[in-house]
Amino acid sequence: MTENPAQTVTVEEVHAQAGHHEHAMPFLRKYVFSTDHKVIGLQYLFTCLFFFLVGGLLALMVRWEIAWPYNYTTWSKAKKAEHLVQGGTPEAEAQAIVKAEVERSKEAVENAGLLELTAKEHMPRPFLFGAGKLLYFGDDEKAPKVYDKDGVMTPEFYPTAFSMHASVMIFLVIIPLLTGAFGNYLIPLMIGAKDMAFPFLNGLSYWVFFSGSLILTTSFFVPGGASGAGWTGYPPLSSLPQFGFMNGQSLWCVGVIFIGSSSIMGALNYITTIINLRTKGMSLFRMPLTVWSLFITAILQCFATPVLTSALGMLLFDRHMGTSFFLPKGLDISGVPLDVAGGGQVILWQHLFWFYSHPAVYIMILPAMGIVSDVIACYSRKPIFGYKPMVFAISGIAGLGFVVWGHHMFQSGMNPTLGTTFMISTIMIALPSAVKVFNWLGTLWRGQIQFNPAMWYALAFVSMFTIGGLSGIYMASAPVDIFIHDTYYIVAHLHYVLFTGSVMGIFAGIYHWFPKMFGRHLNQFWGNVHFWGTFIFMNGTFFLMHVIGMGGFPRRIGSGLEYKFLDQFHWMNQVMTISAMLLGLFQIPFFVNLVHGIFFGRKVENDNPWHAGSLEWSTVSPPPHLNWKELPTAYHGPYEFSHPNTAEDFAPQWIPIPAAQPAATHEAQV
Amino acid sequence: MDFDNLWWLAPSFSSYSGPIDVMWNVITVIIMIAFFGVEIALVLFLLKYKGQPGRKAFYTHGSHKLEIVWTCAPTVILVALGLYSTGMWDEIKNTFPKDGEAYTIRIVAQQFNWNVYYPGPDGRLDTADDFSNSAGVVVVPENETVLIKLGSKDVIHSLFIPHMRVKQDAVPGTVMKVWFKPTRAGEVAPPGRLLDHRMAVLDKDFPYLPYEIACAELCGFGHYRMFGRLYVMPRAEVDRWLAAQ
Repeated sequence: MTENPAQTVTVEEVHAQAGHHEHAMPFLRKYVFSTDHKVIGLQYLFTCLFFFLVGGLLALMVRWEIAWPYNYTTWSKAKKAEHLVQGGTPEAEAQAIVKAEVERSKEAVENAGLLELTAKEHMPRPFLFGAGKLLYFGDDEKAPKVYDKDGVMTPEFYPTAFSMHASVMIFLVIIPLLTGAFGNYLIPLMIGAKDMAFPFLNGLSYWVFFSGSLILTTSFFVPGGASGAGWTGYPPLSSLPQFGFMNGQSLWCVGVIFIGSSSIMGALNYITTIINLRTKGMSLFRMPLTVWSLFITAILQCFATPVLTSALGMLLFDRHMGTSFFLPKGLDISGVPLDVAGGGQVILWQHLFWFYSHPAVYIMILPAMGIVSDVIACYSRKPIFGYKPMVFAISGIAGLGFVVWGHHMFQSGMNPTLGTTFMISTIMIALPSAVKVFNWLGTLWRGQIQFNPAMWYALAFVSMFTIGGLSGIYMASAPVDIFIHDTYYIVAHLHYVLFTGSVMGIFAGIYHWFPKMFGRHLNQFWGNVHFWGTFIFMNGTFFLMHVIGMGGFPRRIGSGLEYKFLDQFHWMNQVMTISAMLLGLFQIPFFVNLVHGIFFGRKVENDNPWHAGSLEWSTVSPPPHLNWKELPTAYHGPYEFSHPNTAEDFAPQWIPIPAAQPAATHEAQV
Repeated sequence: MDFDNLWWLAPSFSSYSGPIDVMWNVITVIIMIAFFGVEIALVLFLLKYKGQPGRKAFYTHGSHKLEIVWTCAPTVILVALGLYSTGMWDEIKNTFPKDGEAYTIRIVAQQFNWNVYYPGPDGRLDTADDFSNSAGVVVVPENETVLIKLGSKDVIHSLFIPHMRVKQDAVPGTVMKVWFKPTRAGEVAPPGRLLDHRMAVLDKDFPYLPYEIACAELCGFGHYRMFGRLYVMPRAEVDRWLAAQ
């Protein structure tokens, strides 16, 4: 084992050295309204993991509704009648059965009683235990009935379920986990800084985020329920309560404004910290790729998020102050003309929204790519293959990311000539992504690959992100997109990028840095169980979405059984739902492991258990307040694994590599 | 109609759906090569380079030559794909039949149904003899260019006819033009057939089975039930139906 200078210093000594003011800090100041980047990072981590559960449960509600929708009973009876005829039952008899079904559903429709039909016909839904009961707000005429009296989810609730699933997962889980949790925790430690450049702003950023998350999630409990206009919130649907979504939609806007502001505060902090606070010897091209990706991501956040924030402001004005930024003249609702000033542009919102939200897609994937690069290099015991091309690829993705937003709008009524431009830039974005995948493979090539949960997750990222990236080429081609736009093919693509991509990166990061964060190990066996369960069932959940997407299954409909041509895919939807539930169950070992690991995990044997090369491993685990007694110096890049001049298979960044071949003994290199 | 297409694209029956499906297949071939290349390499590396205690990995920081190769090769393929798509896109979305050269109807979407307006005996839209239905029944002739003037009364909807490869958002405040040319009439409905429980209301007056129309853009609580039917029939049948209205 290489002699590690930091190892000889005990935690207590470093604490004492860091100043006794820390010990004097009251609990609230130290752990709640903290300005320490590590505490803030962990606050983000725990908050986001909690919302990961919330978003996951919403996802299961979504899946449940699709697999056993409100009209499932009617449908299966009618199907049975059809089969009866095919099987030789007298036609008249079978037809009578079907006719009875038809009459009944016609009657129900005529009474505008789809909801009544639902209440009578719904499948037993033991899964949520009628959780919707908590969310039933009485028989107020004005309130849209999104839950019935039995607390059963109606198809009218479905838009809310998936809108909030997406909003929670994007705004409260993936973005803040990657940038908030890993960004805060790792940036100062990896570049050798005592804390962020603006510690107070950092703390503020968490608490603004936390307020936003409360606003967003409590919107479930206001009359009318939470937003159901999609996470994209397209007006006019989102701009007036008359179109269906009431107070929840306004709260959604406010919540996202809060979260966006928090994002901007964080991003400013990361950029300043990375530019100004790197330790001696830490040139930009000696930074780990995780830091590079977080740096580029922060730049994206800084430039893109204000656009979304202002667009949300405009939407709120439209909702509450009678402006018409997104409302044209001449609208009506069921024959009643809408009294609005008019003159606005519906598509304007889409431009503003996607100008943020396409870069946001890269905000959600780039840090995961950085984490995966670090993990793969470490467990392949090899320098990252093509470090600089990797950095340029990250920058390339980010740069192109600003000129591709129109590919979300090929069918939106945007000028088709503009579509051609966006098509070419979108197709080109496959290029830096391909370069990254090739470089990961290059890193594995002739390595000494070590398998553990962190590495499995990183490998899963590489193999699954490849699927998500490649399926993106179909929708980049505008003519093909005509068919698959707004079908399940898109849902499959985005989940292959975000779940089997970003979330794999997040898990890899948690398993890799857990010993650093808590000074204890996670259980490897249960880590492997978590991995294989997740890997199998995430494919079971998301892969068949490609197939039903190719069959033309539109996204965002609560029941595919409304369409005859979708009948044949119904069993697939049920397979997906069952897989999704098992996927959910396989997260239990993870959460148990996490809690168990924090309190009772095996203590780390030394400060660098993975024999990694970057600076965060040079301090004690968990790192003390202000991280180091004395800031380390970076003598070379972070990926000097298996260097011929060292006896060990790694050369930490804080120890110079000897110029000559080492002697056989360890002393030679210190 | 019942289609059996479990594992591939929904079948398509319009003049430009063929080229779109060909494009789909071209992309599929390219990405399958890339996909299997990457996954096979990954699995082989994992099997072959499993770490052994006491051994060091091969020390390298990469190769410029390889980086150039695997940057340039995809570039050529991707640019070619882009150019191949451009012409088709222009033909579908940027070129429209002239007035009077196509069978023209107007569709106005609202929460949660499609209002379909037919020109009436004078053959012109927006005149007094127009007639309409609000049940989303779209009747068009086979092998003729159909021009739809698509609008919306309230929120954004999207006209999606999967088997014609048609999709266009209906944007309130503007009128979008959509054209397609169906190349196959719906199947002739068998006599004494079972009425599907979903189609009974619309379906019983027509001698042909319909293609289905969906709303593809979230338009509110009732989005899931905003469907319509497209009846593609020979010209004579269409004329007979129009005259009966």
